[in-house]
Amino acid sequence: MSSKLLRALLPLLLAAPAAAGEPLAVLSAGTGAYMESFSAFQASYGREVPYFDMAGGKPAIPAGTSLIVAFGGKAANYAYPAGIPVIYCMAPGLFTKRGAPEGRSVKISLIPEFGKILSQLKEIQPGLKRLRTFWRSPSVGRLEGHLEAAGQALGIEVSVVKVSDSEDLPALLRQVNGNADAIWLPPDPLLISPENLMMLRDFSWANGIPFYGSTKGMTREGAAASVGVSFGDMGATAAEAARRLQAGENLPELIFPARMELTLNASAARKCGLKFQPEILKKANYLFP
Amino acid sequence: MKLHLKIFAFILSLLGISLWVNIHFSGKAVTEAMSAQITDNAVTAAEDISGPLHKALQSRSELEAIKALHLFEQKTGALYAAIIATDSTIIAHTNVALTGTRLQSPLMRRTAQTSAPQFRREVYKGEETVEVLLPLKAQARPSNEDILFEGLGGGGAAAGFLQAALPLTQAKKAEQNIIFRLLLIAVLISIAALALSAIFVRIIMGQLNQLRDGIRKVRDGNYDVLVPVITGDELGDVAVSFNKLAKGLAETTVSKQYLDSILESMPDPLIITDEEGSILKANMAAYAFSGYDFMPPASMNIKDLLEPQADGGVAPFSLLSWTGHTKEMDLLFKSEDGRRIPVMLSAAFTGGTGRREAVIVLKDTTQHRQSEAKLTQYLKEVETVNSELDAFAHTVSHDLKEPLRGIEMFSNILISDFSKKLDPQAADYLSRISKAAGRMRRLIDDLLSYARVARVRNPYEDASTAQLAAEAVASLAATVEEHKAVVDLKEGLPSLFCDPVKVRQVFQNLIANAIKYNTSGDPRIQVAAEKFGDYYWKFSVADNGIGIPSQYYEDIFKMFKRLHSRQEFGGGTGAGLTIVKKIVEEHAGKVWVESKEGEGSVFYFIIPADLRNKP
Repeated sequence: MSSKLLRALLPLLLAAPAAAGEPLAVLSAGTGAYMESFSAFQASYGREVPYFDMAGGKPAIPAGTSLIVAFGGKAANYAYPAGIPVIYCMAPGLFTKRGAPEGRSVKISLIPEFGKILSQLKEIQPGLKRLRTFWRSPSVGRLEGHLEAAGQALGIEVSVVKVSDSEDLPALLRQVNGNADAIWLPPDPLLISPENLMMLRDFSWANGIPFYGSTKGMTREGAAASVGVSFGDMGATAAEAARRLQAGENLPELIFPARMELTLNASAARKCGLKFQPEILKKANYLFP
Repeated sequence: MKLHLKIFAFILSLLGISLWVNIHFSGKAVTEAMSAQITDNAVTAAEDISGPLHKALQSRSELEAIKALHLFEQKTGALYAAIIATDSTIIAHTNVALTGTRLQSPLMRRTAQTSAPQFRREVYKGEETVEVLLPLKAQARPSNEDILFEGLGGGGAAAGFLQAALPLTQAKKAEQNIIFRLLLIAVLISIAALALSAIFVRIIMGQLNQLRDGIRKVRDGNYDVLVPVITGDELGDVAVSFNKLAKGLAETTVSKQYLDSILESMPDPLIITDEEGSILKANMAAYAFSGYDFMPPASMNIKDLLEPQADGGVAPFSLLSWTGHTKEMDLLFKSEDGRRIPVMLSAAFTGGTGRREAVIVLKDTTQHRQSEAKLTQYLKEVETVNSELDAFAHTVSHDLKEPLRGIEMFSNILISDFSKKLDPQAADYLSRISKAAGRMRRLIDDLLSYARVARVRNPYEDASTAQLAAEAVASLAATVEEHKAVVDLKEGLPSLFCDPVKVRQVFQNLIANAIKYNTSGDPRIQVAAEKFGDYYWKFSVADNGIGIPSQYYEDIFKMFKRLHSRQEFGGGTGAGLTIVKKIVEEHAGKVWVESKEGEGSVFYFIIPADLRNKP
């Protein structure tokens, strides 16, 4: 079923207030990617879940709500009533700013596991030996060790550089020249800005150093490729997490969706001197010409 | 290459060059205009974001500058952009790697000098771009004082520069579109020019083709040519002149067709060769005569076909080459079937040096020679018969004279010695016998004289006819005296190579007749001579005698022909003029008479001046 049809039907089906003891979905906006992911969640969860569109205001949490599934950063950052488990989906950053009141919160990662990402990048750019990545959000910085370990396993020297201030990014990029074969940018909410993306893109294109992103949107804006997770998979993973939480299981605070979404930008790749192999092109979920 | 192809090649070359020039310079102009337009757009975009740009310039904050540059990129689609300090140091660049380096661009110096935007075409990472360099003023807006002194464009020197590479993708499409349209127009113009040229060439070539055909006809000998005058230009003038020329030739020149028809209709073989004797042409009679077809031209040589009739003779064609012409040369011609045909060759060279051709006419003399041989045989036979006849006549005459002389002598004796014893009747008969015998004797004498003329061959020698005539007159002195005749021998009687005895006989017989046949009582005879053509002398013996009726002009030269009774004018035998005629003809001459009855006669005879040089 197409997302448009779902968008048309869901308000009719779910506009009624949520019943007590039921999970509740909160969407940053009842449109676009949020609705797409929520639709996949709905489909995977197996029964109707009421949702709240935060574009219309603050969500009213019905009494008896047993689980909240937040779609989007705005929904994730909302202060929900204590004691209600929260599943964060489509929220930038690797971890939540703060845990749920009772510690039962799960973050559905926007990206696959590092090993899978780096493996995919290696496949895209077989000569990749040195990878430079930047972070600013502390939650991303926390996984520096994991990232470096994953790279080491694949023979890639990953250097994770902290960007204290956006002002520092130009100088940090100048240091990349000659010291890295590619740049990978995690879904760091503090680092992702139009200026920074353009700066990275221009740097990449001008100096022939491929710049990889972590979402389809970043690829659209000029990254040569991105290894991420589709909105649908995030929704489906969230549905699985919801079922398991409701079943009383203890889940890790970060869950990586099993399936990757590979997005390629042929124009950007050409500008930074990267040539996609036919196998990569076949694997791509999206290809921007 | 044909002329029309040359003209088309020339026109196509011109069109090609003009097309190339048009496209090249139009393309350059369009490119320049498009680049200027792009630069203007960049200037406008820079003015739109002048605030952030000046802020970045003043703060020297790279991030602020990059943000401003990104704004510029978003507005213009620039592939890169940079803010440059006046000392060429890059303050900020969208490729941050270049920040802090120095700008190496030829635009820098020009922009600094002119404080005006500069641009140039540049290829950036394989993409054609317009590199622009815009001066950035120190302040966003000029001060009132700046406006006062320098107008709205014032504001002092540039505090920095904005460099950007602007893509030409869209502009290129527009540029290509314009150039394509220009090319299309140029091609259409070229097609029109080609079409007009084709019409023009067709007109020219039409006239030229007409002229060419006309010239071919004239070359082939057909002068009856009229070339249509298609154009009124110089070619038309040429056509008119050609027509006049052809008309003039037709009126003044024997056409080749006419000559060919004459040559082909000639019954005698005619062969034309070059100077070396190679046969170029022959008429039908030559084909029929020789059996050769003489084709192809120059495949045969006349020298191989002719040979002298006698061994050791000069090669006939060599003789022709030396003399330039020859006439009636007797030769042998080797025919195709191997026969040697006797021919009479007449030939002459025509044409100038190096282009001479020999025109050779052959005459088959086979029949002529046979006829000549027969004639010679006949002549020999006739001469033999004549000789025999002369001998017979002489013998007969001489033998007849003996008994006749006896008859006459004894008759006279009887008359003189026994006339008194005879009765008158018998005496008369005897007298008649004597006279008849005497006339018989004279006839025989004349016959003998005539026969002697034919039989006796005196040696020919140069002789003065004046003297011969004088001798003839002297021999007739008694008669002249008796008739009191006056014989006038005019001056100028020539010397001739002749038989003087016989010529004297001619004068004697004619003068004697002139005296004899004259009843005027005052006979006057005039002997004269004058040149008759180049080879003859014409003699005349004129008298004032009785004259001769015109119907007897021929008869009087016959043997024993008399116009009067035996009793009149001395009773001659009528052999004198026959003898004259015989002698004159023996000298290859001719005798005739012109006369008026009662007024006199003029006997003319012509004799070659020198029989050794017959005409």
